[in-house]
Amino acid sequence: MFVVVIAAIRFRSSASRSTPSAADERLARQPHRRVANGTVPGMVDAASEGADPARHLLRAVHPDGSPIPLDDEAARLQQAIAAARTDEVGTDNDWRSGVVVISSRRARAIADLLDELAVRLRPGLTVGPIQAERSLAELAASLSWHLHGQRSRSMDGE
Amino acid sequence: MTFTPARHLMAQRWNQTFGLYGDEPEDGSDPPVPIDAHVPAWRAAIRSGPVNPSRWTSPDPAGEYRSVTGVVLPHAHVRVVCDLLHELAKRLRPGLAVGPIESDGSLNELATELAGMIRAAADAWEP
Repeated sequence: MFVVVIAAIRFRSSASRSTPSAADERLARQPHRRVANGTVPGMVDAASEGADPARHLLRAVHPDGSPIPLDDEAARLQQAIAAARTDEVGTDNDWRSGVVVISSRRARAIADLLDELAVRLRPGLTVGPIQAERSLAELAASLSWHLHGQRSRSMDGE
Repeated sequence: MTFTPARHLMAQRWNQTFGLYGDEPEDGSDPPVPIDAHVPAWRAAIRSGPVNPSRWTSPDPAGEYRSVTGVVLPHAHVRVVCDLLHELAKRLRPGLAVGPIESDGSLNELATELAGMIRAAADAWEP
């Protein structure tokens, strides 16, 4: 597998420079407090903290407990994806690699969206008419098509 | 069977060529897919191999190279992620009302498991 990893990545330089502190990176990754998805006992539920599934994120709330509008989450993730594109310069999901390599920033954005889907598929959950712009929906679709395209590039004849 | 987003997948590929996402045929020839119908296959896919961390060097906007961390997703995992992200996109469409969700909870668990696998690999290099 390690060989595959190496093959999937084109190293263009071994030079490196200092990066933001580990604490800064952790803060950027976890700006919100994650909440229950129905499978993690002992955690609070976003809806019980005032989140409206039609307007707010369900997988997390602000540190002060206030709900996060869907459009605000879209703006945050769009910034993360923009940074991810920079991180991914120098990678190349080559033909027949059989894997897709993405930056950690893009991976965390995907994980966050999967968590949101998980909560929205929780048995019994009711969501009123979505009151948000299309931005988060379009971002999720865009990420899906990006991965689909990268997968097509790296097909191994399956 | 009548389609309802509370009971069925919204982004499931109907039996159309080229993988286009379309509406359910009105003649009932392609019935809607229950939310949990694909969970066994999707679970087998994401458990068929690991999601590994990776790292490489990449130029920043100023042109200086720095170390970057990443994640290596096998194709089997990518297919599931694509389907689930598209499902979320459909469910966040403005004006859509859903509920109450009729599911055994297995897709909820699968999405959580997959998110955890990806996040763990993304954070593997962090102190």
